[in-house]
Amino acid sequence: MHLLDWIVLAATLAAIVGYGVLKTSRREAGELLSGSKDVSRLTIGLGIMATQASAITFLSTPGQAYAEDMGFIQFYFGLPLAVILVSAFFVPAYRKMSAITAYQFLEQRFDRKTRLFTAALFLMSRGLAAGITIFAPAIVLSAALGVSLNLMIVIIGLIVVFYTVSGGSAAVAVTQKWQMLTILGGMGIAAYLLVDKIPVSMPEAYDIAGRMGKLNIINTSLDPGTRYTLWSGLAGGLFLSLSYLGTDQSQVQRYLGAEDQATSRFGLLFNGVFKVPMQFSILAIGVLLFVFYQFTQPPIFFNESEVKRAPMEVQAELAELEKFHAHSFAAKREALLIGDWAAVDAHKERLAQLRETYMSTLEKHVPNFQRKDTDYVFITFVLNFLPKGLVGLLLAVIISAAMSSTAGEVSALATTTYVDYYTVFKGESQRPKRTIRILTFIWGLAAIGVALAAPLYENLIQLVNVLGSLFYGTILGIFLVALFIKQVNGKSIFIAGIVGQFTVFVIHYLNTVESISLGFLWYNVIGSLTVVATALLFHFWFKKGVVYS
Amino acid sequence: MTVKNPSIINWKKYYIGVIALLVAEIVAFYFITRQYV
Repeated sequence: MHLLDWIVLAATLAAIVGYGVLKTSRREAGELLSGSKDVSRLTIGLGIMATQASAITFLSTPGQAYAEDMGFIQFYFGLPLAVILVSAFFVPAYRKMSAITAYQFLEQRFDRKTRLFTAALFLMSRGLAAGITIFAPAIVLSAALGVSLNLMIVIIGLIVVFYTVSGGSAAVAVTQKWQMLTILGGMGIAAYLLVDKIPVSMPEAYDIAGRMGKLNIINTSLDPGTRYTLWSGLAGGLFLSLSYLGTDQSQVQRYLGAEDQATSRFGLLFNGVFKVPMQFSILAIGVLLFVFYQFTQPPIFFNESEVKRAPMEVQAELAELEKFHAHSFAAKREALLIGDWAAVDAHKERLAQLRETYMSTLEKHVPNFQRKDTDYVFITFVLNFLPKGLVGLLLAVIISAAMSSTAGEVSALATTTYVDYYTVFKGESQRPKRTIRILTFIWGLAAIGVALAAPLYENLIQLVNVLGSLFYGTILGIFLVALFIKQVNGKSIFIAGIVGQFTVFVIHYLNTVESISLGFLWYNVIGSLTVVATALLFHFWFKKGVVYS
Repeated sequence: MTVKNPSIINWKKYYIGVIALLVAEIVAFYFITRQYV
């Protein structure tokens, strides 16, 4: 990477972090927990978006559209509906009791053990997810930049710990606004440059993408094993988003940080309006990359660090395959330019076979070879085709995304630990600022620890989503009963929570051993509905017992 | 304009707007998909 890129990268990150620290250096303990009240709707809206959009979003999503199609957008269809429900029902309930965390509401509604159980589920799932939020982009960045993975994890982690410990939730809010604006600006520039580098007109590029299956967006299949369909996106996505936006403290903290209910609601609605277009734009960048690589030869395998691990004796074989690949690619490009689609399809088939042979060769000779290279598609383009200076800016975009979501998570973990455990068992701290900062520091180190220990996994973005889906259904079920079924008490909901969580674990196990085939988005629906149904069942059972006794 | 009192805002109008936008997006995506199937 050029010196100018390193300067742009360091200056962008330093400016954002420095601004956050300076703006929030003299905050009170309350502001460390829930943020400053003087933030605007835009800051709240961008903060919610920035916490959701991790670096994995920007690395994996274009790669998904490049390798498959735009069907992933369906995953977000439930979000606008969830935003409305959270705005209408969850926000008034939290604000009425001036809650700092979502779990405080559960003690008021049910009892202490339900509050602690739900907060524990959150701490477990979010604690692991915070580690993955650092780990996932660090693998890609370290491979692409040739920096050690552990060093990359420690650098990202320590910067986050530094400003989150210093300014707490208030620092997270002010930095997230600038991080999100940097991200949107950087992605906009990348899209513009891609369009500029594609040698055909936009209508022609659109036609090429469509004919090659990249514009498959809506899938109306009723097969529950198909991961992204219109139905799983609307139903599963609604439950997942409802759980995330309504009950995950990393999100709740963002909108409860607003001065009044209207600002909280506008911040949420901002997401309902812009989330789908934003994800669509990121997927569209993946499609543009696909069209770009129809005219510019792509590497046969995008993760070069894996290729470099191949022993010397297979390098000649790999080079031979690369030569055939280049030859077939040139023939396909010629066919594409004259519009000979039969020839294009034939060459496409040949290129796919060569790529498969290439990967099989690597698999045979490289220990623990990682076949999946879609996360490297976008970063390979950034490093090889963007002008000097802009490479640094785009890397700042990816690192900013990693930092903004990790900071939101670490701050929420510290807030929940302090409000739902520390004050419950030990009472208010004599020195609350110090205690909150220590907790933030511990959670930051825990996230770095998880990232350092995390094993490699096939698909990064789905790992985080699966992890969330394992716990989210149960948590949401508890909140749905709390808000909408007034008769159910603490005893019934606690048992229902345990039954719901156990059910999701069993279903996930059956899915893992391939006894059933179920998209993970359905875990949210099953978990929530199991909790609601079990709570009602126990409620009537206990009630009946009381009547008979 | 800063709105301090949430009771004077007609939230239903905003919610219908968000749903209408989602429906329009899904319909548009559906037609894009149909073009090449």
